[in-house]
Amino acid sequence: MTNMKLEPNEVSIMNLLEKLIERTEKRLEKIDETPDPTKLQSNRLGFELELDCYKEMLGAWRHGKPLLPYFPSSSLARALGSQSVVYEGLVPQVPEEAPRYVQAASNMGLPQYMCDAFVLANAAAMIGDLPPPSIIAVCPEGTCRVWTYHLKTLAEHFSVPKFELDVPCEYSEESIKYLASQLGELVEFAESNVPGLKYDQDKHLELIDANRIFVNYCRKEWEFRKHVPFPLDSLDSFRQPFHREPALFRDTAKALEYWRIRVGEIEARVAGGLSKEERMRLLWVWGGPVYVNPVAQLELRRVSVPAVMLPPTSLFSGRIANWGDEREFGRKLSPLEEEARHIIGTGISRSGRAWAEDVTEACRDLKCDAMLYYQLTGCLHIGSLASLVADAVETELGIPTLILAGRLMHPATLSPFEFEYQITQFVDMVMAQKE
Amino acid sequence: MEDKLKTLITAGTKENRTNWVREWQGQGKRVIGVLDSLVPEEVIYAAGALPWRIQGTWQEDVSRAMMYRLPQGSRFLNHVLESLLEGELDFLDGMVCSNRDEDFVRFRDYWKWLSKTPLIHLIDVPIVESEVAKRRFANKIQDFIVVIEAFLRVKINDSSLHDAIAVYNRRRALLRKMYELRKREVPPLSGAEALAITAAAMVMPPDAFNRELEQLLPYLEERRSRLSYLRPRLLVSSDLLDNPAYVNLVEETGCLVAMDDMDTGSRYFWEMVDDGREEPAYALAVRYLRNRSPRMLDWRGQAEQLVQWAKEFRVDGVLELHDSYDYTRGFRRPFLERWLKHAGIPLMSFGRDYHLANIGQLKTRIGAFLEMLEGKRAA
Repeated sequence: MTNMKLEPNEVSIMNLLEKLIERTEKRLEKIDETPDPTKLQSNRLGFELELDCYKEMLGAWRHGKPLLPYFPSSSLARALGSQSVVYEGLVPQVPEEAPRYVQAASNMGLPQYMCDAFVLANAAAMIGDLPPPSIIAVCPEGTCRVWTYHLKTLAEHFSVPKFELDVPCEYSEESIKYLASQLGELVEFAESNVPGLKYDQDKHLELIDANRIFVNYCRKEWEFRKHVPFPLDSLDSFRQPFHREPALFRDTAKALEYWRIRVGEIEARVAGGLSKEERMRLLWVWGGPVYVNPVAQLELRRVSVPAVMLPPTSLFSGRIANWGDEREFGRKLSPLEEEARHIIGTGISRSGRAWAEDVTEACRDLKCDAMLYYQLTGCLHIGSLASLVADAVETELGIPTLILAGRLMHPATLSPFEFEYQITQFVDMVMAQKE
Repeated sequence: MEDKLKTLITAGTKENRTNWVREWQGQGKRVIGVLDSLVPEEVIYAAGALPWRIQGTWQEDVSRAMMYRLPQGSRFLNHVLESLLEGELDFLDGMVCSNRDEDFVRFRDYWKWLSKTPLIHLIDVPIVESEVAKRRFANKIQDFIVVIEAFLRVKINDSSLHDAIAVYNRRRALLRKMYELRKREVPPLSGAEALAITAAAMVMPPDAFNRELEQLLPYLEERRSRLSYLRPRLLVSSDLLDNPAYVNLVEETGCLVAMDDMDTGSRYFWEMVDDGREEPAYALAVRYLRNRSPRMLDWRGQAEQLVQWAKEFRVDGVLELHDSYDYTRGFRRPFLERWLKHAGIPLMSFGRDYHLANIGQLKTRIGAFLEMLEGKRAA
């Protein structure tokens, strides 16, 4: 299967991008028709950005322009003149497609016991629901090794140029230099093998600066998240900042404007005082199922989720160095070193104990009474550390953890009923102890 | 000599594998546990310590370990953790592993949390064989040397490293000679016996093992194993399979395991270290990266190696007996299936536990595969 153009008059089942475009347009219409004053007004701009992004991807697919799925970083993809497509960020937005992708994954012999975020995203791409790659850089964004093999599988399936990188499992200046040198080779390889790709260092520096500004906004937002009561909807915490990082969008300035407005709104809410009743705060670790509203029962019980913690969250909480930080190694990093720092730093590249410390500090920062660790089936990178992290927060802060094991996209191992039952039991127990 | 052979075959069994540990520690020397085949054991040996391959408990019950482990994690690591929690590995002075896969990296974290082992070290082994990766791995080996030196309060110079490499290369050469004999129509050893001898190599002091095998090789040249079945000939592919009973089960079902593609078998010793290089750390890096493990990204190279071995050892089919949750093999499988099909080599793949379990089911499935192979041969 090669990079194919979609014929404009091709009538078929909607591909995933078309579905997302339709869905987002409807969402914008609904916001315009019946605005909800309890939601952030900047959400509209956020959805506009996402719509722009999907349309750009679809346009590139239709016209045979290069697309870079899972490229090590969105800013590097843009600096090469293309766009990063985050398959595993798109597929969970259509959980109703899960059974079809599960079947496709099974037919193709993909290992079903691994994290379904990637398995199903791969399946979606391999059956043509997502654009085929122009090139695959076998390099995870973060240090998740399972991600690496997903990329390898895609590369073999699509028979496109591939470049294999080795991402060190531990964070150090030496690791950063090592990865940066490979990224340099990747850039040369991409330019030579994919028509239309050309590295623009000035553009890259601009994007790195945009990333720095974006992270600073997220850090400001983190401070507001500490406010009691939590100034946002808990469901908002499940929308990870990196899904709206500037380099994902062609109009970087618009993306930064979104973040400026958003953080301004949150600041205004905090300054204006909030009368929301909040009985408990729960730190959520990793993701949650997308086949059920993760916070419905929590909201009924006045439980706030001030953050959904993933390894990159440590960037937004300030525990990992920001883009452009010169203090960490006492020098300015090159653009590719900045990318390498980000790739290695936003996985769990230090020890599991360090991850446990990050989570513990987040609990402390955000004044959490309890933690929910969603142990995603097959997630050896984050899910496997549940016990260690739970022990750390219990020991340090005396707070309990509910470890829930389940999938991201389909309820095979954790039904919606069981999910809600376990959460409500846990919350009721914690509240009883509090009182 | 038959008794000598039996002694070597049983040296790596549960009952005997700690014999040399007691001997070394009795002499005031240290024993460093090695969790996988990507750890350059030569460094440990050059420091005067005994590299000792860790196994898990072979009992079925791993309920204590499963309080900490993901259900979809490596069965091997489940059993090792159970052993650790039972106190069976308390004697180790250290544990060294590679970042073989994600599970091993996280397992290191749990080992640190749950044990009091004085030294715990993880070596970052690249997954590609580029020159920059080799250089980096050489640096990581240098770091490992520094760690071992500090822990054992010794100095490892190039000369001691070269000496250790020489001993290990000798062991590799002897094991390869032994494996060459398995190409025969009637080999001197069954597949189970061959695996047992490699298991012995992993727990015995290398020079002691070398002496034993050196003495046995002339005997093996003449020996004809009393195997029940000489056909079909299989190549068994797996990782972290250290229980010869599994290979015995395969052979009892009606075949000969003529060759293996296992990190506890052929891949443990197949490649030599190029001792002609000036920098021994770099020489080690080159050798250990050329390991053809499914965790490496060179799937093509791994498949080509399998095909080559299949031809050299005249196998009729490849049986992949993978750990049920070995994701490196899980991802590679569709690729390998296509490749072997193109080469005309039948492949069958079954998941297994770490301990010998589901014997009936395994025998049925293996039996069906063997029947298919027999039918193919007859046609």
